[in-house]
Amino acid sequence: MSTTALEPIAHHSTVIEHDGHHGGLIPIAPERQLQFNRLGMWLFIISETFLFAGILIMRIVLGRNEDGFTRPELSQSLGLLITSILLVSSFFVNRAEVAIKHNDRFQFNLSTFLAILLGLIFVGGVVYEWDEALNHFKPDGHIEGGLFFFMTGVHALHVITGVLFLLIVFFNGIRGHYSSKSHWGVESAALYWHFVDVVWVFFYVALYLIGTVPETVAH
Amino acid sequence: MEHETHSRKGKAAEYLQGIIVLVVLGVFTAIEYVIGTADDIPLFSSTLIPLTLIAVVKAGVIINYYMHISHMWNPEDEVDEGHAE
Repeated sequence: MSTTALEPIAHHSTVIEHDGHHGGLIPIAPERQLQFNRLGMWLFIISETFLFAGILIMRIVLGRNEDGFTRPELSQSLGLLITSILLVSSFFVNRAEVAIKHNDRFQFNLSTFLAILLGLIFVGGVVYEWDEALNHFKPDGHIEGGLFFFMTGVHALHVITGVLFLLIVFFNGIRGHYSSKSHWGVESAALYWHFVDVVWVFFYVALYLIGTVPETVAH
Repeated sequence: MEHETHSRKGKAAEYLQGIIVLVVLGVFTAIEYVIGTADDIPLFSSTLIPLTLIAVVKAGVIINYYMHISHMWNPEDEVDEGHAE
């Protein structure tokens, strides 16, 4: 039978039971609960998307002058490096998810650890970029600088949250809390991490690639 | 025995898919870098549209293959792929 998270519960009377002893609470079958969990996570991701979409629109509207789009003077090689690091970390998170689905605990632990490591390297790269950028411009110096520090700061905060999320999953994994049949924690952490990656796909283009460095910013 | 062999093949296929997705993302990122950093590309009067299009494609690839958005409305896919055992 086809079941989706959006179907009414009443359609599945075979797996749903009304329990009079628990004040009308309805126990939900595990596979159904998983669908609700996924729906909740995606709704959370959509709500976060509004935040980042707003920031991107702000960059497009404010980051331009009479000559067209402008951007801060940044190290292109460092931008490409940290972007690649985040993409590879997403690969390892996906690998960890596949591994736990097949009860491959060694690969799961290794891949999760590598993803965490790469996430921390990404944050280190952003901190290094901030240090370098501060030699050229300040957050309150001009609009390009303000946008750069705001966008990378908000994103880095989400990356740090994702690293914490993955750390919890890693330690739970070491203690054997996940299996091929039960690994919602892994799936939700992976969803969050990939979302942070998707955001950076757009932020990288918006911050590093679109527009030219205005003469007032270039040194 | 047969189930175990099937599961192993499924796992190898999923690992391979992850690698292919990473390579595709890497290629698109390299194209972005070239478009964004080249001083003068005669093909484009503005880099905004091609770079945005590539970013949308990259995001779509991640959302489809890494975030498995289709499992939201088609959870049977997981069973077909051998995810749920």
